[in-house]
Amino acid sequence: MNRVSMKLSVMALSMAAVSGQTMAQDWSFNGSGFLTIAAGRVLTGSVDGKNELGLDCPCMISDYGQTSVYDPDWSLKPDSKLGLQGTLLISDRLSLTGQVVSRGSQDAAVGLEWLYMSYSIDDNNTVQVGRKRIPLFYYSEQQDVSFSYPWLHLPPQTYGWEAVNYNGINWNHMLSLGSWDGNINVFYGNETRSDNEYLKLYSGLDSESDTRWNNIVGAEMVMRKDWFEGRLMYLRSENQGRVVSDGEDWSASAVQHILGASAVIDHQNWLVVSELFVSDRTETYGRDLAYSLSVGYRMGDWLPMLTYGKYEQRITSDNPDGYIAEADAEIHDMISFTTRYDLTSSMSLKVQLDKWMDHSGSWFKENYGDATTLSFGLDMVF
Amino acid sequence: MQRVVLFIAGSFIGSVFADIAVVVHPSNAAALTQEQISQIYLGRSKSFPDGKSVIVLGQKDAAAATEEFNSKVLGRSNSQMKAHWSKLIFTGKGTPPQDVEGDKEVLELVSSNPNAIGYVDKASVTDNVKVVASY
Repeated sequence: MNRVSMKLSVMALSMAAVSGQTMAQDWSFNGSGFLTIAAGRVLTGSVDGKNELGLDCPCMISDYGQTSVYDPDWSLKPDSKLGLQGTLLISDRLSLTGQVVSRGSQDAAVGLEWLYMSYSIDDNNTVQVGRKRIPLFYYSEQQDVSFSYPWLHLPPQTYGWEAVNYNGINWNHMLSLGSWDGNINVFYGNETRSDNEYLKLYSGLDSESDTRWNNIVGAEMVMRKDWFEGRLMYLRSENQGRVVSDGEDWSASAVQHILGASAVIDHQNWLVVSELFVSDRTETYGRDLAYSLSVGYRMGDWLPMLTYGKYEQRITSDNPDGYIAEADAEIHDMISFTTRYDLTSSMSLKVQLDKWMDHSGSWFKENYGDATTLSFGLDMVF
Repeated sequence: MQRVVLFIAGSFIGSVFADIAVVVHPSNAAALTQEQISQIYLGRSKSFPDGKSVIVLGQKDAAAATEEFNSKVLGRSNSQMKAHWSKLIFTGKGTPPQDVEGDKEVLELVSSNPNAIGYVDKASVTDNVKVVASY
Protein backbone atom coordinates (compact mmCIF):
# COMPACT_ATOMS: atom_id res chain seq x y z
CA MET A 1 0.00 0.00 0.00
CA ASN A 2 3.01 2.23 0.27
CA ARG A 3 3.26 4.24 -2.79
CA VAL A 4 6.80 5.22 -3.54
CA SER A 5 6.87 8.65 -5.14
CA MET A 6 3.27 9.10 -4.12
CA LYS A 7 3.79 12.77 -3.43
CA LEU A 8 5.49 13.31 -6.76
CA SER A 9 2.65 11.58 -8.48
CA VAL A 10 0.04 13.80 -6.78
CA MET A 11 2.04 16.84 -7.80
CA ALA A 12 2.30 15.56 -11.36
CA LEU A 13 -1.44 14.98 -11.52
CA SER A 14 -2.06 18.43 -10.06
CA MET A 15 0.22 20.03 -12.61
CA ALA A 16 -1.30 18.02 -15.44
CA ALA A 17 -4.80 19.11 -14.50
CA VAL A 18 -3.82 22.73 -14.00
CA SER A 19 -2.02 22.98 -17.32
CA GLY A 20 -4.79 21.12 -19.15
CA GLN A 21 -2.60 18.15 -20.06
CA THR A 22 -4.26 14.76 -20.00
CA MET A 23 -1.19 12.67 -19.18
CA ALA A 24 1.35 12.97 -16.41
CA GLN A 25 4.80 13.29 -17.91
CA ASP A 26 6.72 11.13 -15.47
CA TRP A 27 6.48 7.42 -14.84
CA SER A 28 6.06 6.29 -11.29
CA PHE A 29 6.25 2.97 -9.49
CA ASN A 30 4.02 1.72 -6.68
CA GLY A 31 5.04 -1.26 -4.56
CA SER A 32 2.78 -3.12 -2.15
CA GLY A 33 2.40 -6.55 -0.62
CA PHE A 34 0.62 -8.93 1.69
CA LEU A 35 1.69 -11.59 4.16
CA THR A 36 -0.05 -14.41 6.00
CA ILE A 37 1.68 -16.51 8.61
CA ALA A 38 -0.65 -19.29 9.66
CA ALA A 39 -0.19 -22.46 11.70
CA GLY A 40 -2.63 -25.28 12.18
CA ARG A 41 -3.23 -28.99 12.57
CA VAL A 42 -5.98 -31.56 12.33
CA LEU A 43 -7.09 -32.41 15.87
CA THR A 44 -9.17 -35.47 15.08
CA GLY A 45 -10.34 -37.31 11.97
CA SER A 46 -11.65 -40.58 10.64
CA VAL A 47 -8.66 -41.63 8.49
CA ASP A 48 -5.40 -42.63 10.19
CA GLY A 49 -1.91 -42.93 8.78
CA LYS A 50 -0.73 -42.33 5.22
CA ASN A 51 -3.52 -42.48 2.66
CA GLU A 52 -3.03 -43.91 -0.85
CA LEU A 53 -2.25 -40.41 -2.19
CA GLY A 54 0.75 -40.05 0.13
CA LEU A 55 -0.87 -37.59 2.59
CA ASP A 56 -0.52 -38.02 6.36
CA CYS A 57 -3.97 -38.33 7.89
CA PRO A 58 -6.21 -37.40 9.55
CA CYS A 59 -6.05 -34.62 6.96
CA MET A 60 -8.12 -31.72 5.70
CA ILE A 61 -7.91 -29.73 2.47
CA SER A 62 -7.94 -26.00 3.18
CA ASP A 63 -7.34 -24.74 -0.37
CA TYR A 64 -7.86 -27.10 -3.31
CA GLY A 65 -6.37 -24.73 -5.88
CA GLN A 66 -2.99 -24.57 -4.09
CA THR A 67 -2.87 -28.13 -2.66
CA SER A 68 -3.06 -26.83 0.91
CA VAL A 69 -3.68 -29.72 3.29
CA TYR A 70 -3.55 -29.77 7.10
CA ASP A 71 -2.35 -32.99 8.76
CA PRO A 72 -1.92 -34.18 12.39
CA ASP A 73 1.32 -32.22 12.90
CA TRP A 74 1.42 -28.48 13.47
CA SER A 75 2.44 -26.87 10.21
CA LEU A 76 2.96 -23.39 8.80
CA LYS A 77 2.74 -24.64 5.23
CA PRO A 78 -0.93 -24.85 4.17
CA ASP A 79 -2.04 -21.22 4.43
CA SER A 80 1.13 -19.11 4.87
CA LYS A 81 2.04 -16.91 1.93
CA LEU A 82 3.88 -13.75 0.92
CA GLY A 83 2.81 -11.64 -2.06
CA LEU A 84 4.58 -8.70 -3.65
CA GLN A 85 3.02 -6.45 -6.24
CA GLY A 86 4.50 -3.70 -8.34
CA THR A 87 2.65 -1.29 -10.60
CA LEU A 88 4.39 0.90 -13.14
CA LEU A 89 2.23 3.91 -13.96
CA ILE A 90 3.19 4.74 -17.52
CA SER A 91 0.60 7.48 -17.87
CA ASP A 92 -2.57 8.40 -16.01
CA ARG A 93 -4.40 5.87 -18.22
CA LEU A 94 -1.84 3.11 -18.79
CA SER A 95 -0.15 0.87 -16.22
CA LEU A 96 1.71 -2.43 -15.96
CA THR A 97 1.18 -4.61 -12.85
CA GLY A 98 2.95 -7.77 -11.72
CA GLN A 99 2.30 -9.87 -8.64
CA VAL A 100 4.35 -12.79 -7.36
CA VAL A 101 3.32 -15.07 -4.50
CA SER A 102 5.45 -17.45 -2.46
CA ARG A 103 3.40 -20.15 -0.71
CA GLY A 104 4.14 -22.49 2.14
CA SER A 105 2.05 -25.14 0.38
CA GLN A 106 4.47 -25.06 -2.58
CA ASP A 107 7.59 -25.15 -0.36
CA ALA A 108 7.93 -21.35 -0.70
CA ALA A 109 8.35 -21.53 -4.48
CA VAL A 110 7.62 -18.16 -6.06
CA GLY A 111 4.87 -18.09 -8.69
CA LEU A 112 3.87 -15.31 -11.05
CA GLU A 113 0.16 -14.88 -10.35
CA TRP A 114 -0.66 -11.64 -12.13
CA LEU A 115 1.04 -9.73 -14.96
CA TYR A 116 -1.14 -7.39 -16.96
CA MET A 117 -1.34 -4.10 -18.82
CA SER A 118 -4.28 -1.96 -17.79
CA TYR A 119 -5.70 0.82 -19.95
CA SER A 120 -8.44 3.17 -18.74
CA ILE A 121 -10.50 4.17 -21.76
CA ASP A 122 -12.38 6.65 -19.58
CA ASP A 123 -13.52 6.92 -15.95
CA ASN A 124 -15.92 3.97 -16.36
CA ASN A 125 -14.17 1.61 -18.77
CA THR A 126 -10.92 -0.32 -18.34
CA VAL A 127 -9.34 -2.95 -20.58
CA GLN A 128 -6.69 -5.31 -19.17
CA VAL A 129 -4.50 -7.75 -21.08
CA GLY A 130 -2.22 -10.38 -19.57
CA ARG A 131 -2.24 -12.94 -16.78
CA LYS A 132 -5.00 -12.58 -14.22
CA ARG A 133 -7.15 -14.60 -11.82
CA ILE A 134 -10.31 -16.30 -13.12
CA PRO A 135 -13.20 -14.61 -11.26
CA LEU A 136 -14.85 -17.98 -10.56
CA PHE A 137 -16.09 -17.14 -7.07
CA TYR A 138 -16.89 -13.98 -5.13
CA TYR A 139 -13.50 -13.91 -3.36
CA SER A 140 -11.41 -15.66 -6.07
CA GLU A 141 -9.39 -12.68 -7.14
CA GLN A 142 -8.52 -11.67 -3.56
CA GLN A 143 -8.12 -15.24 -2.25
CA ASP A 144 -4.39 -14.79 -1.60
CA VAL A 145 -4.94 -11.55 0.34
CA SER A 146 -6.29 -13.04 3.53
CA PHE A 147 -6.30 -9.61 5.24
CA SER A 148 -9.14 -8.57 2.91
CA TYR A 149 -11.67 -11.12 4.22
CA PRO A 150 -12.79 -12.59 7.56
CA TRP A 151 -11.67 -16.24 7.21
CA LEU A 152 -8.27 -17.83 7.64
CA HIS A 153 -9.12 -19.98 4.63
CA LEU A 154 -12.23 -19.60 2.48
CA PRO A 155 -14.84 -22.39 2.59
CA PRO A 156 -13.07 -25.19 0.61
CA GLN A 157 -16.47 -26.66 -0.26
CA THR A 158 -16.95 -23.74 -2.67
CA TYR A 159 -13.43 -22.44 -3.31
CA GLY A 160 -11.07 -24.49 -5.39
CA TRP A 161 -11.03 -25.70 -8.94
CA GLU A 162 -8.30 -27.07 -11.16
CA ALA A 163 -7.69 -23.75 -12.95
CA VAL A 164 -6.91 -20.60 -10.97
CA ASN A 165 -5.42 -18.05 -13.37
CA TYR A 166 -5.75 -17.38 -17.09
CA ASN A 167 -3.99 -15.53 -19.88
CA GLY A 168 -6.33 -13.26 -21.76
CA ILE A 169 -8.21 -10.02 -21.94
CA ASN A 170 -11.00 -8.47 -19.89
CA TRP A 171 -13.15 -5.36 -20.09
CA ASN A 172 -14.49 -3.84 -16.90
CA HIS A 173 -17.35 -1.35 -17.07
CA MET A 174 -18.54 0.61 -14.02
CA LEU A 175 -22.21 1.53 -14.12
CA SER A 176 -24.97 3.10 -12.08
CA LEU A 177 -28.68 2.41 -12.45
CA GLY A 178 -30.79 4.75 -10.33
CA SER A 179 -29.59 4.33 -6.77
CA TRP A 180 -27.69 1.14 -7.62
CA ASP A 181 -24.06 1.05 -8.73
CA GLY A 182 -21.83 -1.76 -9.82
CA ASN A 183 -19.71 -3.19 -12.59
CA ILE A 184 -19.73 -5.67 -15.42
CA ASN A 185 -16.56 -7.60 -16.20
CA VAL A 186 -16.33 -9.57 -19.44
CA PHE A 187 -13.32 -11.86 -19.95
CA TYR A 188 -11.79 -14.22 -22.50
CA GLY A 189 -8.65 -16.33 -22.26
CA ASN A 190 -6.91 -19.68 -21.97
CA GLU A 191 -5.06 -21.58 -19.29
CA THR A 192 -2.74 -24.56 -19.41
CA ARG A 193 -1.62 -25.78 -16.00
CA SER A 194 1.29 -28.18 -16.27
CA ASP A 195 1.95 -30.54 -13.38
CA ASN A 196 -1.29 -29.30 -11.87
CA GLU A 197 -1.00 -29.29 -8.07
CA TYR A 198 -4.79 -29.57 -7.65
CA LEU A 199 -4.87 -32.97 -9.33
CA LYS A 200 -2.32 -34.39 -6.90
CA LEU A 201 -5.16 -34.30 -4.35
CA TYR A 202 -6.88 -36.96 -6.48
CA SER A 203 -4.06 -38.78 -8.29
CA GLY A 204 -1.39 -38.77 -5.59
CA LEU A 205 1.46 -36.49 -4.54
CA ASP A 206 3.86 -38.33 -6.87
CA SER A 207 1.59 -38.10 -9.91
CA GLU A 208 1.88 -35.52 -12.68
CA SER A 209 -1.19 -34.22 -14.52
CA ASP A 210 -1.80 -31.36 -16.96
CA THR A 211 -5.00 -29.37 -17.39
CA ARG A 212 -6.21 -27.09 -20.14
CA TRP A 213 -9.13 -24.66 -20.06
CA ASN A 214 -9.43 -23.42 -23.64
CA ASN A 215 -11.55 -20.52 -24.87
CA ILE A 216 -12.63 -19.44 -21.41
CA VAL A 217 -15.35 -16.86 -21.95
CA GLY A 218 -17.45 -15.35 -19.23
CA ALA A 219 -18.97 -12.35 -17.57
CA GLU A 220 -19.67 -11.26 -14.02
CA MET A 221 -21.99 -8.52 -12.86
CA VAL A 222 -21.86 -6.95 -9.42
CA MET A 223 -24.57 -4.54 -8.23
CA ARG A 224 -24.69 -2.67 -4.92
CA LYS A 225 -27.10 -0.53 -3.00
CA ASP A 226 -26.50 0.75 0.53
CA TRP A 227 -25.62 -2.37 2.56
CA PHE A 228 -26.38 -4.98 -0.12
CA GLU A 229 -24.13 -6.41 -2.83
CA GLY A 230 -25.20 -9.06 -5.33
CA ARG A 231 -23.10 -10.88 -7.93
CA LEU A 232 -23.85 -13.13 -10.88
CA MET A 233 -21.20 -14.93 -12.95
CA TYR A 234 -21.32 -17.21 -15.96
CA LEU A 235 -18.35 -18.95 -17.56
CA ARG A 236 -17.93 -21.44 -20.38
CA SER A 237 -14.73 -23.22 -21.39
CA GLU A 238 -13.49 -26.26 -23.31
CA ASN A 239 -11.46 -28.50 -21.03
CA GLN A 240 -8.83 -31.16 -21.58
CA GLY A 241 -6.65 -33.15 -19.25
CA ARG A 242 -4.01 -35.86 -19.15
CA VAL A 243 -2.18 -37.84 -16.51
CA VAL A 244 1.40 -37.45 -17.71
CA SER A 245 2.75 -39.95 -15.18
CA ASP A 246 0.42 -42.59 -16.70
CA GLY A 247 1.60 -41.73 -20.21
CA GLU A 248 -1.85 -40.45 -21.24
CA ASP A 249 -2.50 -38.23 -24.26
CA TRP A 250 -4.76 -35.16 -24.01
CA SER A 251 -8.41 -36.11 -23.51
CA ALA A 252 -11.05 -35.00 -26.00
CA SER A 253 -12.20 -31.42 -25.47
CA ALA A 254 -15.29 -31.25 -23.19
CA VAL A 255 -17.44 -28.21 -22.60
CA GLN A 256 -18.13 -26.98 -19.06
CA HIS A 257 -20.61 -24.33 -17.96
CA ILE A 258 -20.28 -22.62 -14.59
CA LEU A 259 -22.80 -20.38 -12.88
CA GLY A 260 -22.09 -18.45 -9.69
CA ALA A 261 -24.30 -16.22 -7.56
CA SER A 262 -23.52 -14.34 -4.35
CA ALA A 263 -25.26 -12.00 -1.97
CA VAL A 264 -23.49 -10.01 0.73
CA ILE A 265 -25.19 -7.97 3.44
CA ASP A 266 -22.97 -5.61 5.42
CA HIS A 267 -25.38 -3.70 7.63
CA GLN A 268 -24.43 -1.97 10.87
CA ASN A 269 -22.62 -4.71 12.82
CA TRP A 270 -23.92 -7.67 10.83
CA LEU A 271 -22.06 -9.33 7.97
CA VAL A 272 -23.82 -12.05 5.98
CA VAL A 273 -22.08 -13.70 3.01
CA SER A 274 -23.78 -16.29 0.82
CA GLU A 275 -22.52 -17.98 -2.30
CA LEU A 276 -23.85 -20.53 -4.78
CA PHE A 277 -21.82 -22.36 -7.42
CA VAL A 278 -23.13 -24.76 -10.06
CA SER A 279 -21.07 -26.46 -12.75
CA ASP A 280 -22.21 -28.58 -15.65
CA ARG A 281 -19.66 -31.13 -16.83
CA THR A 282 -22.05 -33.68 -18.26
CA GLU A 283 -19.65 -34.25 -21.17
CA THR A 284 -17.29 -35.84 -18.64
CA TYR A 285 -18.90 -36.94 -15.34
CA GLY A 286 -21.90 -34.84 -14.28
CA ARG A 287 -22.62 -31.74 -12.26
CA ASP A 288 -21.27 -30.01 -9.14
CA LEU A 289 -23.19 -27.97 -6.61
CA ALA A 290 -21.57 -25.89 -3.89
CA TYR A 291 -22.90 -23.27 -1.54
CA SER A 292 -21.92 -21.48 1.64
CA LEU A 293 -23.51 -19.17 4.16
CA SER A 294 -21.65 -17.10 6.75
CA VAL A 295 -22.98 -14.88 9.47
CA GLY A 296 -20.73 -12.56 11.46
CA TYR A 297 -21.23 -9.79 14.00
CA ARG A 298 -18.69 -6.97 14.46
CA MET A 299 -17.87 -5.90 17.98
CA GLY A 300 -15.31 -3.10 17.72
CA ASP A 301 -12.13 -4.70 16.40
CA TRP A 302 -13.52 -8.24 16.76
CA LEU A 303 -15.43 -10.15 14.08
CA PRO A 304 -16.65 -13.60 15.12
CA MET A 305 -18.23 -15.53 12.25
CA LEU A 306 -19.99 -18.84 11.70
CA THR A 307 -19.89 -20.51 8.28
CA TYR A 308 -21.63 -23.48 6.75
CA GLY A 309 -20.46 -24.82 3.39
CA LYS A 310 -21.48 -27.81 1.29
CA TYR A 311 -20.11 -29.41 -1.86
CA GLU A 312 -21.94 -32.13 -3.76
CA GLN A 313 -20.79 -33.87 -6.91
CA ARG A 314 -23.65 -35.43 -8.88
CA ILE A 315 -22.35 -38.15 -11.15
CA THR A 316 -24.69 -38.94 -14.03
CA SER A 317 -25.32 -42.55 -14.96
CA ASP A 318 -23.54 -43.71 -18.14
CA ASN A 319 -21.08 -40.83 -17.83
CA PRO A 320 -18.28 -40.87 -20.42
CA ASP A 321 -15.54 -41.05 -17.74
CA GLY A 322 -17.04 -44.24 -16.30
CA TYR A 323 -17.42 -42.96 -12.73
CA ILE A 324 -19.75 -44.78 -10.33
CA ALA A 325 -21.65 -42.55 -7.90
CA GLU A 326 -21.42 -44.91 -4.91
CA ALA A 327 -17.67 -45.17 -5.17
CA ASP A 328 -16.56 -41.89 -6.70
CA ALA A 329 -18.99 -39.08 -5.79
CA GLU A 330 -17.40 -36.40 -3.59
CA ILE A 331 -19.85 -34.93 -1.07
CA HIS A 332 -18.97 -33.05 2.11
CA ASP A 333 -20.03 -30.19 4.29
CA MET A 334 -18.24 -28.11 6.87
CA ILE A 335 -19.03 -25.88 9.82
CA SER A 336 -16.39 -23.27 10.65
CA PHE A 337 -16.06 -20.83 13.49
CA THR A 338 -13.71 -17.95 12.75
CA THR A 339 -12.71 -14.95 14.83
CA ARG A 340 -10.82 -12.02 13.39
CA TYR A 341 -9.21 -9.32 15.53
CA ASP A 342 -7.87 -6.16 13.91
CA LEU A 343 -4.55 -5.59 15.63
CA THR A 344 -3.81 -2.39 13.68
CA SER A 345 -5.35 -0.85 10.58
CA SER A 346 -3.21 -3.13 8.40
CA MET A 347 -2.71 -6.23 10.54
CA SER A 348 -5.18 -8.81 11.84
CA LEU A 349 -5.13 -11.99 13.90
CA LYS A 350 -7.43 -14.91 13.14
CA VAL A 351 -8.35 -18.22 14.65
CA GLN A 352 -10.48 -20.79 12.82
CA LEU A 353 -11.98 -24.10 13.91
CA ASP A 354 -13.32 -26.31 11.10
CA LYS A 355 -15.42 -29.43 11.33
CA TRP A 356 -15.39 -31.25 7.97
CA MET A 357 -18.04 -33.96 7.56
CA ASP A 358 -17.53 -36.40 4.72
CA HIS A 359 -20.56 -37.95 2.97
CA SER A 360 -18.71 -39.05 -0.17
CA GLY A 361 -18.48 -42.34 -1.99
CA SER A 362 -16.06 -44.94 -0.68
CA TRP A 363 -12.88 -43.66 -2.39
CA PHE A 364 -12.93 -40.11 -0.99
CA LYS A 365 -14.12 -41.32 2.41
CA GLU A 366 -11.23 -43.78 2.68
CA ASN A 367 -8.66 -41.15 1.71
CA TYR A 368 -9.91 -37.97 3.43
CA GLY A 369 -12.95 -38.62 5.66
CA ASP A 370 -14.06 -36.43 8.55
CA ALA A 371 -11.67 -33.96 10.17
CA THR A 372 -11.62 -31.27 12.84
CA THR A 373 -8.92 -28.65 12.32
CA LEU A 374 -7.64 -25.73 14.35
CA SER A 375 -5.61 -22.93 12.74
CA PHE A 376 -4.22 -19.54 13.77
CA GLY A 377 -3.04 -16.76 11.49
CA LEU A 378 -1.52 -13.30 11.29
CA ASP A 379 -2.37 -11.28 8.18
CA MET A 380 -0.93 -8.00 7.05
CA VAL A 381 -0.77 -5.70 4.05
CA PHE A 382 2.00 -3.22 3.35
CA MET B 1 -3.15 21.31 38.00
CA GLN B 2 -6.87 21.64 37.33
CA ARG B 3 -6.11 23.76 34.29
CA VAL B 4 -3.72 21.10 32.96
CA VAL B 5 -6.34 18.40 33.41
CA LEU B 6 -8.95 20.55 31.67
CA PHE B 7 -6.53 21.26 28.85
CA ILE B 8 -5.74 17.56 28.38
CA ALA B 9 -9.44 16.67 28.54
CA GLY B 10 -10.18 19.44 26.05
CA SER B 11 -7.50 18.24 23.63
CA PHE B 12 -8.78 14.69 23.89
CA ILE B 13 -12.37 15.67 23.24
CA GLY B 14 -11.22 18.02 20.51
CA SER B 15 -9.29 15.30 18.68
CA VAL B 16 -11.97 12.64 19.02
CA PHE B 17 -14.98 14.77 18.17
CA ALA B 18 -13.45 17.18 15.63
CA ASP B 19 -15.76 18.11 12.79
CA ILE B 20 -14.63 17.02 9.38
CA ALA B 21 -14.97 19.21 6.30
CA VAL B 22 -14.96 17.77 2.78
CA VAL B 23 -13.30 20.32 0.52
CA VAL B 24 -12.98 20.98 -3.22
CA HIS B 25 -11.51 23.75 -5.40
CA PRO B 26 -13.48 27.05 -5.16
CA SER B 27 -14.32 26.84 -8.89
CA ASN B 28 -15.95 23.40 -8.45
CA ALA B 29 -19.75 23.86 -8.53
CA ALA B 30 -20.43 20.26 -7.44
CA ALA B 31 -23.04 19.69 -4.74
CA LEU B 32 -22.28 16.31 -3.15
CA THR B 33 -24.44 14.13 -0.94
CA GLN B 34 -22.85 11.87 1.68
CA GLU B 35 -23.65 8.90 -0.60
CA GLN B 36 -21.79 10.51 -3.52
CA ILE B 37 -18.79 11.31 -1.29
CA SER B 38 -18.79 7.67 -0.09
CA GLN B 39 -18.90 6.38 -3.67
CA ILE B 40 -15.88 8.53 -4.56
CA TYR B 41 -13.89 7.45 -1.49
CA LEU B 42 -14.74 3.76 -1.96
CA GLY B 43 -13.50 3.90 -5.56
CA ARG B 44 -16.98 3.26 -7.00
CA SER B 45 -17.21 6.61 -8.75
CA LYS B 46 -14.31 8.28 -10.50
CA SER B 47 -16.01 11.55 -11.38
CA PHE B 48 -18.01 14.42 -9.90
CA PRO B 49 -21.76 14.47 -10.70
CA ASP B 50 -21.06 16.88 -13.60
CA GLY B 51 -18.77 14.27 -15.21
CA LYS B 52 -15.46 15.92 -14.33
CA SER B 53 -12.75 13.41 -13.29
CA VAL B 54 -11.91 13.40 -9.62
CA ILE B 55 -8.50 13.20 -7.94
CA VAL B 56 -9.13 11.76 -4.49
CA LEU B 57 -6.91 12.81 -1.60
CA GLY B 58 -6.81 10.96 1.69
CA GLN B 59 -4.63 11.32 4.74
CA LYS B 60 -2.39 8.79 6.43
CA ASP B 61 -4.04 6.31 8.81
CA ALA B 62 -2.38 7.95 11.79
CA ALA B 63 -4.05 11.31 11.06
CA ALA B 64 -6.99 12.03 13.37
CA ALA B 65 -9.00 13.29 10.38
CA THR B 66 -8.79 9.87 8.68
CA GLU B 67 -10.41 7.93 11.49
CA GLU B 68 -13.11 10.62 11.84
CA PHE B 69 -13.80 10.69 8.11
CA ASN B 70 -13.87 6.90 7.74
CA SER B 71 -16.18 6.46 10.68
CA LYS B 72 -18.54 9.45 10.19
CA VAL B 73 -18.78 9.55 6.40
CA LEU B 74 -18.02 5.99 5.26
CA GLY B 75 -19.26 4.17 8.37
CA ARG B 76 -16.12 2.00 8.48
CA SER B 77 -13.04 1.60 10.63
CA ASN B 78 -9.54 2.31 9.28
CA SER B 79 -8.97 -1.44 9.17
CA GLN B 80 -12.16 -2.07 7.18
CA MET B 81 -11.11 0.61 4.70
CA LYS B 82 -7.65 -0.96 4.36
CA ALA B 83 -9.29 -4.35 3.73
CA HIS B 84 -11.60 -2.76 1.15
CA TRP B 85 -8.69 -1.18 -0.71
CA SER B 86 -6.53 -4.31 -0.41
CA LYS B 87 -9.21 -6.15 -2.36
CA LEU B 88 -9.18 -3.54 -5.13
CA ILE B 89 -5.42 -2.95 -5.28
CA PHE B 90 -4.39 -6.61 -5.47
CA THR B 91 -7.08 -7.51 -8.02
CA GLY B 92 -6.46 -4.64 -10.45
CA LYS B 93 -9.82 -3.01 -9.73
CA GLY B 94 -8.87 0.34 -8.32
CA THR B 95 -6.35 2.87 -7.12
CA PRO B 96 -6.77 4.15 -3.57
CA PRO B 97 -6.87 7.82 -2.59
CA GLN B 98 -3.46 9.48 -2.57
CA ASP B 99 -2.61 9.66 1.12
CA VAL B 100 -0.91 12.99 1.89
CA GLU B 101 0.73 14.25 5.05
CA GLY B 102 -1.96 16.31 6.80
CA ASP B 103 -4.57 19.07 6.56
CA LYS B 104 -2.05 21.62 5.29
CA GLU B 105 -1.01 19.53 2.29
CA VAL B 106 -4.63 18.58 1.48
CA LEU B 107 -5.59 22.29 1.47
CA GLU B 108 -2.60 23.22 -0.71
CA LEU B 109 -3.37 20.54 -3.31
CA VAL B 110 -7.14 21.14 -3.35
CA SER B 111 -6.73 24.91 -3.65
CA SER B 112 -4.53 24.47 -6.72
CA ASN B 113 -6.44 21.68 -8.46
CA PRO B 114 -10.02 21.97 -9.83
CA ASN B 115 -10.34 18.14 -9.92
CA ALA B 116 -9.28 17.38 -6.35
CA ILE B 117 -11.36 16.45 -3.33
CA GLY B 118 -10.07 16.04 0.23
CA TYR B 119 -11.07 16.06 3.86
CA VAL B 120 -9.63 18.10 6.74
CA ASP B 121 -10.42 19.09 10.28
CA LYS B 122 -13.09 21.81 9.90
CA ALA B 123 -11.03 24.14 12.05
CA SER B 124 -8.22 24.09 9.44
CA VAL B 125 -10.35 25.23 6.48
CA THR B 126 -9.11 28.35 4.64
CA ASP B 127 -10.72 30.67 2.07
CA ASN B 128 -8.73 28.98 -0.71
CA VAL B 129 -11.02 25.91 -0.75
CA LYS B 130 -14.76 25.32 -0.83
CA VAL B 131 -16.48 23.18 1.81
CA VAL B 132 -19.06 20.87 0.19
CA ALA B 133 -20.07 19.05 3.36
CA SER B 134 -19.17 18.82 6.99
CA TYR B 135 -19.82 16.08 9.51
